[in-house]
Amino acid sequence: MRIHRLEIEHVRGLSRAEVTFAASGVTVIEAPNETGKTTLFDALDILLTEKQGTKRQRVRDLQPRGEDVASSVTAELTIGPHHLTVTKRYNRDRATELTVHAPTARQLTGDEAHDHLRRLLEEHTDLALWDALRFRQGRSLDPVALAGANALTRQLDVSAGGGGAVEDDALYDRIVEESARYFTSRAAKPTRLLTDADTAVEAADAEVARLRELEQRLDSASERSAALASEQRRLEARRRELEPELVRRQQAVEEVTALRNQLVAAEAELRGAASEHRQATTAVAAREELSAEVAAAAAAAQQAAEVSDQHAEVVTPLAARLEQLSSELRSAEEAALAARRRHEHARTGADLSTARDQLATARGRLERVDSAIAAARSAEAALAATASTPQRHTQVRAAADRVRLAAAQLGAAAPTVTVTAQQELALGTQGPGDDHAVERRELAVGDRSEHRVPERLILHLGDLAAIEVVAGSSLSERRAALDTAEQELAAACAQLEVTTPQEAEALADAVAGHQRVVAERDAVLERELDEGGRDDLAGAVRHYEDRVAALSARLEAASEEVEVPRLELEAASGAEQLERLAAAQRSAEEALDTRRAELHARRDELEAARERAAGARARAEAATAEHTRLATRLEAERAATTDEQLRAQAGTASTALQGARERVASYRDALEAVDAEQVEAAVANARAQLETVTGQLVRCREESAKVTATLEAHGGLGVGEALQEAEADLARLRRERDGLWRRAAAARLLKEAFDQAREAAYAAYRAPLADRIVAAGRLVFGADLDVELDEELRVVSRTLAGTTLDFEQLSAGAREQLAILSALAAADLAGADGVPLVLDDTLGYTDPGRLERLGGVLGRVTGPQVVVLTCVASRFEAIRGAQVVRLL
Amino acid sequence: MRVLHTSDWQLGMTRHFLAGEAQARFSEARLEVLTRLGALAQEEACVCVVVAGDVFETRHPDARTVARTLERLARFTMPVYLLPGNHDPIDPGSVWRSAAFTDACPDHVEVLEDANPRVPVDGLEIVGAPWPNKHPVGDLTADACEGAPADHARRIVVGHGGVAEVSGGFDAPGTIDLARVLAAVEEGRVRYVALGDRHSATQVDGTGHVWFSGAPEPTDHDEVDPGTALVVDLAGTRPEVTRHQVGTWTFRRLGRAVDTDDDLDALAADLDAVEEPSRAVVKLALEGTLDLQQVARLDALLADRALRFAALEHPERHRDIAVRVSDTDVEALALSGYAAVARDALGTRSRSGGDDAATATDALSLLLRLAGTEQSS
Repeated sequence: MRIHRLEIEHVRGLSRAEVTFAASGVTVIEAPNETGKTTLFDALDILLTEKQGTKRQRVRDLQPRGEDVASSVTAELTIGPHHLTVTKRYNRDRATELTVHAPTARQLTGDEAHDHLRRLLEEHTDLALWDALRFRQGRSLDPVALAGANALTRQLDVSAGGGGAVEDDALYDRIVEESARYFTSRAAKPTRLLTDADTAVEAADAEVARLRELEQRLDSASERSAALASEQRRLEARRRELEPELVRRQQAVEEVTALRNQLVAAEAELRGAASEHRQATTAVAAREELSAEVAAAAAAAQQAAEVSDQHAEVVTPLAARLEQLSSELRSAEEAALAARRRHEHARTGADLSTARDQLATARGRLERVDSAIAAARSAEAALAATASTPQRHTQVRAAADRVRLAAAQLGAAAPTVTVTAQQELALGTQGPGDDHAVERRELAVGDRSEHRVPERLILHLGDLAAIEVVAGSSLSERRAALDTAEQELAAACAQLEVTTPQEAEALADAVAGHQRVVAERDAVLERELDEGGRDDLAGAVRHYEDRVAALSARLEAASEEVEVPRLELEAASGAEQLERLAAAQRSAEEALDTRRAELHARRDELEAARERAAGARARAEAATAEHTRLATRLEAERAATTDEQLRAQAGTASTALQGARERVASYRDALEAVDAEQVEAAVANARAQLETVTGQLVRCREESAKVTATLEAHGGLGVGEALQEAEADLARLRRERDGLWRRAAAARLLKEAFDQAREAAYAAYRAPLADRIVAAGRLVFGADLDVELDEELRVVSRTLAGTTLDFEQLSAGAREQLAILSALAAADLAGADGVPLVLDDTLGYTDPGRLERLGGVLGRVTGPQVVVLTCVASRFEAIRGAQVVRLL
Repeated sequence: MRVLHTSDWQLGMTRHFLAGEAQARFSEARLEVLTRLGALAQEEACVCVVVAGDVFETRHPDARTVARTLERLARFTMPVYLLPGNHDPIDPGSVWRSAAFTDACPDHVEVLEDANPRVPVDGLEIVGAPWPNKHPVGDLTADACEGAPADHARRIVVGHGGVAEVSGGFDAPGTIDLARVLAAVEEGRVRYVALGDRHSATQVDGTGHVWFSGAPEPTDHDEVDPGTALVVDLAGTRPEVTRHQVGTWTFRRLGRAVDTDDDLDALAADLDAVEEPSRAVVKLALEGTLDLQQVARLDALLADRALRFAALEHPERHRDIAVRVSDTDVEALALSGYAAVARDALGTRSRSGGDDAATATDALSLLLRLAGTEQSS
């Protein structure tokens, strides 16, 4: 495809733009950024692919912003042999016009035109190559994969000298498809088709194995059944042999048993004979013993009697002594009693005196208490009767004091008259009032006498004169005060029901006296009484009175008893006398004790003697009785069986015993001869054998029944037929599987062969492309450049100055350059079937030096069309012969 | 007095080369022949039928097989005596003792469990020599013959096993000693010995007293005269035996040399000539040298004809056919470029005779097919 002309109207930022391209070689389109260089080719893309009526976003975006106008794109192209012009209007006034100029003129519109255009493109243009050779803005720096471009590969094929039939690839695809049925494309692993066949064979194999095993088990069960049947027959035969044998041996045992029984009987007999023999001999011995005993008993009785007599003789004197001692004791007792009585009486008298004293004392106390109480009572009564209270007394005293004070004050204020006697004088003073008495005092020469004159005073100077002194009226207040005080005093006294303070004092004294009496009572009570109080004391008095009365009575009685007057008794109760009497009592009692003790001793002695005597007598009697008893018994026994008879019996028993022994011995010998044990063992053995066989037979039958049951149960499963079917299935599946694998191997081998050949072919025709890239590249990089391409016809490595680097390892600039060079080489090679190479704002990474050289390379391009879009035309100055177009 | 002598029904048999529906038809045919035997016995007025062993293929046939067999036998109008053979001995757990058999066994069908004589009609005794297990000790048939009284009665001993003089080997268990049997016949102990085990009808001795009846339907390729039953007439002093063909299936081998296209045509004709192909099992043995196209043609031919037969057996890989890549093959594989290179590489390998020569040949065939697909489109 070649582009001759492009024209756009109202497309994005461009209201109108038209570019004419060089039919071959380089066209540089220069325009500042954002002005629409890219838009131009975007519009071309849309023209070639989108129908007029499309609503796609990228077509709507052709509209200039804010303007609802039709966008129009026109292109004049050569597609294959066809030279044509196509115009499309989008978004508004939609239209398509296609004018084919050559080889056959045609005019088409609308979708028909679009379809025709598409057909032409597909038929004559390598769209893959077109895409590969579009270096858009921002395109990645990956290497260009050109293997998809058929136009290219065809040419390469031709260059490589191959037939270049496109069908080959279709064939290759079919081969790959066939192989893919059997093996996965990536890991070349068997697909489900093969693995399922394998699995099916495995499963069938397992099923056959299972059924075989089952059949085998049934076979062995069947064999076992037959074996069991023959075993059963054998066991039954054996049992038939063993049964009579057992019977025979049992008979032998019975014989032995009989013999044994006889032996047992003989042994019993022996035991009987032996015991009889024992009895007889024992009887003889017993009789002899008895005789001896009787003799001994007689002797013993004799001796015991003698002893008893001896003891009896001792007792009598002892009894007599005891009598005497008893009478002595009685008299001692009487004496002691008398002495005690006398002492007691004396004591009683003493006690009575004491009691009388105690009584007096107690009475005195009581009297004091009572009198104190009575006094206190009357004092209290008097106290109660008075009007005296301490306060009142205090008031009185205070009032009296005030009076005195007032008087004193008055007196103080009162004029003072001092009389100094110049001679002996009889001074008399008289207070105011006529009633006042005259106080006379004798004054010696020089004696002074001071007198206050509270109100008025009359001084009598002997008989000479009487001076009246009257106090001034300024004393009236004081006088009033004194009056008041005196009134108060009078009131206070009235309270106490007295008239004068002195009486009050006297009353106070009286009150105090009463109070003292009361206190005295308390003291007396305190002193005389115990805790129990007066009642206690009164009680004590009564008690002492009673005691005195009792003791008096006792003494009275005693006095009657001893016929001594009581008073005498009383008198004789002094301490010395008491002592004397006590001593007498003591000695009398001691004598009594001594006698008593001796009496006891003697009594004990007598008792003991009597006991011994009694004991001896009893023993003597017992011995006699014993002798009598034994003798009686002996007589009786002898009466029953005489001594000779006994001896005769013993002899007979001895003989019988001997005989029994001999018989037992003979039976034992007989048994030994028979070897009884062995016979019994034989029976046990036979029985055991029979049991074993019977047991085996039972087990055999049981197992047989089980096996039969198993066989019958499984018989219905149809194992045999199932196995046959399973085997048939297995054979069939194996055949199928093998067939599949055979076909798989063939497909794989075919694919491998093709892959190998293809790889070689590709390798072969990669060469022209590589050569062309290197040829151009050397002008840019240097003479020692080499590149390597992969099967996708991508540059995978660059070798420069002997150093090989992978494409990814190269710098951005180098990659850029190599990409453009390989695209250029492709465009060159593709030739007539090719497409333009479009470089939109590229080579940004390339330094000026390389840029210049690259420009040189581009400048050499003659065949293909190259379009360079740039905002910096100076970058591409080095491209000689380029057609430069400025947009805008 | 006629008796129908048959054996080796082997009901429940499966053949691995018969797939799916062919197997079902085969099994059905083997049951169907029983009906024909019943009809034959009735036509020939046989007083009873003796089946000399291998009634069932296995000791444990499927319950269906048992049921269907008994159902067919129920329609027989004369007594049927079944002898346990080596495939179906009467050991514990065998089908003969199973409830499935005993419950459904018709009254006129009797299993020859022991050597006690059975009397179907006056004047005829049937004595069986059943196999008690898979490995019987001794010669059961000869024992049964010798055990019978020498009273020249019409007595048939039914036995099963190989006869050395006929089959050529002594080792198999249950082999029958012909000398003893014939001696017993001489002594008048037995009039006719009805044998089973051999699938082809065979007269064992010169006088015709001992016969194998053969299987009523064929089971394999090597049977000489299969598909038969015998009607034995005991009216006279010597038994008269008539063969009857009752089988409907055929097993055959077909060998041919294939080197040219004409040979392939002839092979096709041979196959088309086979009668009743749906009941035929054909085993092919081909040898020769073909090129790839011819091999493809052969494969197509066989694939097509195989659909008509019950089974068309041929080795998958044509072991005896050499494949060479001819010029026509190359033309057919008109490839260019690397495809041609690949094709040639495969051709070389297929001729090399190495391990993968066969695979290379197959690969070429495949290539031919895939490339042909393209051309035909």
